[in-house]
Amino acid sequence: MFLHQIKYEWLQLSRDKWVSTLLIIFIALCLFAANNGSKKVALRQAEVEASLAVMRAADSDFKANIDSVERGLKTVEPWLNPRRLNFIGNRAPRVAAMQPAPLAFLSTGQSDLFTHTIKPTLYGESYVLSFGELSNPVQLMFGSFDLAFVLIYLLPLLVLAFSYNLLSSEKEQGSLRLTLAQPVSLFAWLFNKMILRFFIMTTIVTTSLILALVIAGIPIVEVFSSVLLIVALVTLYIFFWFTVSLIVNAFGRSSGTNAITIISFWVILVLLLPAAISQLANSLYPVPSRINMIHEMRIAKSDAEKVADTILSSYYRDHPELAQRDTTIQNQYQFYLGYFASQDVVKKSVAPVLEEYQTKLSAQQQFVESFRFISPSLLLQNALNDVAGTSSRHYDSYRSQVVAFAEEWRAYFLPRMFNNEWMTKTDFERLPTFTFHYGQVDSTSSADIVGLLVFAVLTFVISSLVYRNISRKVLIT
Amino acid sequence: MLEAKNLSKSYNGQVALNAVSFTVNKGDVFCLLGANGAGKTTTINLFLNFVEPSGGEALINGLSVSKHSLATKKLLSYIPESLMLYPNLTGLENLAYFAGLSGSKQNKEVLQSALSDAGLQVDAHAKRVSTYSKGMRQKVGVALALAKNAEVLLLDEPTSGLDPKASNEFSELLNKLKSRGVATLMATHDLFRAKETGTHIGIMKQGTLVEQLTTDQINHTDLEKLYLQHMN
Repeated sequence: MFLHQIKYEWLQLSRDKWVSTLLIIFIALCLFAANNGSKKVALRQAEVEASLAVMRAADSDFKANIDSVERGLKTVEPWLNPRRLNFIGNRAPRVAAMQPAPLAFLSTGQSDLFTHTIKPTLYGESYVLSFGELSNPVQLMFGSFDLAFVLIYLLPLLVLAFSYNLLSSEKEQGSLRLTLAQPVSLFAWLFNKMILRFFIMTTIVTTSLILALVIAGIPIVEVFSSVLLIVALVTLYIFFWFTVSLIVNAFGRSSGTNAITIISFWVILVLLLPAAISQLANSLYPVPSRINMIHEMRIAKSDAEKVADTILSSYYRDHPELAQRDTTIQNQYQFYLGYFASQDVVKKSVAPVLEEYQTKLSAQQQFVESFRFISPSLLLQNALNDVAGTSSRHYDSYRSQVVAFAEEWRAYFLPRMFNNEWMTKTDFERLPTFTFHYGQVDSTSSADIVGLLVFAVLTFVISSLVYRNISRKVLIT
Repeated sequence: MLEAKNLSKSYNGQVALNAVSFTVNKGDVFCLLGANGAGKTTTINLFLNFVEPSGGEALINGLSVSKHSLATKKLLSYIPESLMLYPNLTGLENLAYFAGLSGSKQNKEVLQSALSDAGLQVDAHAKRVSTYSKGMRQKVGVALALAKNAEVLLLDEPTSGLDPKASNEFSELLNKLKSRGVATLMATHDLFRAKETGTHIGIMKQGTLVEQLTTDQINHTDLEKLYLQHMN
């Protein structure tokens, strides 16, 4: 009976030009979106590459200069002397780049809000580093047309177009009476109709995804488990929307009413709830002004710098190992030594400000993350950003990895400067380098998939209950 | 065999059917006559389990329709006033689909001969139903009854809107089914056809079966007189 019904249902769908037109449009949209995403990723990669190229060119310049200065072929002003460690520490920073994850093209996520190349220097505070990127505000407002957008926003509409009149059309064209005069259970019969459409949609989405990967030139074998995860997520999402449609159909209203009802669900779940949550997060957990934070830090810093000398002597007491070995000459980095010492004091005095800022920020993020469970579209968005490596957690991690690297950078120069050393050509090979580790970001996708599964099961159970108690009169008259 | 036992139905206190009892045996054609709203369609809907009876029972082969919904539907075939099929499918495909739904999958030859037996021209078998006339669609309905080997046939004004020739053809099909021993319950306004093809006649008025007789008891003129007498 199942296969029999599927066969004739398929026959009908395949003869409907509207169905094939819609599916072709959808595949085209997927490919267009994937192409858009790939272009963005390429741009991002090019930016990183350009930054690295500038760095390498500067490095070889500096090396050549060091060589000339060492051999006395060239004299330079002291503040431009590449042999001085503070010069290199400030003027030859490493590029701390966040290379895109393999599936970054899937979802733009937060990537258009942040920069992917930071150059922490010796002077200046790592925690004040700006990670924001100046971008076109219009672009930000509309969001980007990536695969995640197509899957989260447009896919439900396609599902609805396929299912809003699953039952009502049968009623309206009159074939329902004859069907119900056959020995079939209404729910089983309708569910079979739905299942075929569900399979068509999942096949289309999976095919589009694989095509997109091929076009983007990503070897599928390498990202196989992620692809499987995406297919599973999207399958559950499609199933959810189909069962919503099934439930709405059970009330026996006209196709027009069904369409409006289902679109309302779409507006609520896909548009309103996410907006409401972000509004709520902003008013419940307002993030303190970043400008104020930086301002407070600067005050603390200038206070500390005024007493840098006294700070330095107490700093030596705490760090006897840093005392200069050759005491016959004056340390050329005297100013910096005071600065480094005052840094500790500054750090201590701004710690509460920084901590407050971070606590509030993570409270807001926590709120948004836990409330994603009220809408399947938020769950899918979260999961796709997670797979694409563009979630806010990734950028948080990038921030802290860069901050840690800034410390490492300083730690390389600090003892050498205290010891009044010079920079040599070979030192360039020993400079610390930065690699972004995606592995340090905890994945939330298993929670997301469980969330989506709960939604799908819930709507399925509701639909079967609704059909059990359906008034037959509703169907016949 | 069809049996109505004190069958009653009321919608929100409004009585649509009031303790109606009758029996349709194998090979009988029971014609329900009556004005619109007399309860003819309600009676048929009760046998299809489309509505729940407020009282009494509708039985098919001794099985209560409301208790054995699926089992009784295996036995019956139904042709509504306007039989609507899937316009995208051909007549043959529609027949195969509905026959399959009722659990009687048949091979193509059997289905084609059912269509031909039902009087559908062979060249129409493979045409989409969207090109069919009402009479042609009704024939697919009859073919379904044949393919299903239905023991019971429920007809709701099947000849209304058919031209006299199509209507006549339909009556002949009914005679064919009658000779196969199918028990038929037909709601109709056509007194002439009722007398011609029916074996029994029931006249309904405001939900009550006011008259039951066999067609050989009465001639055309008297049937019309009797009918009008009840209606006035």
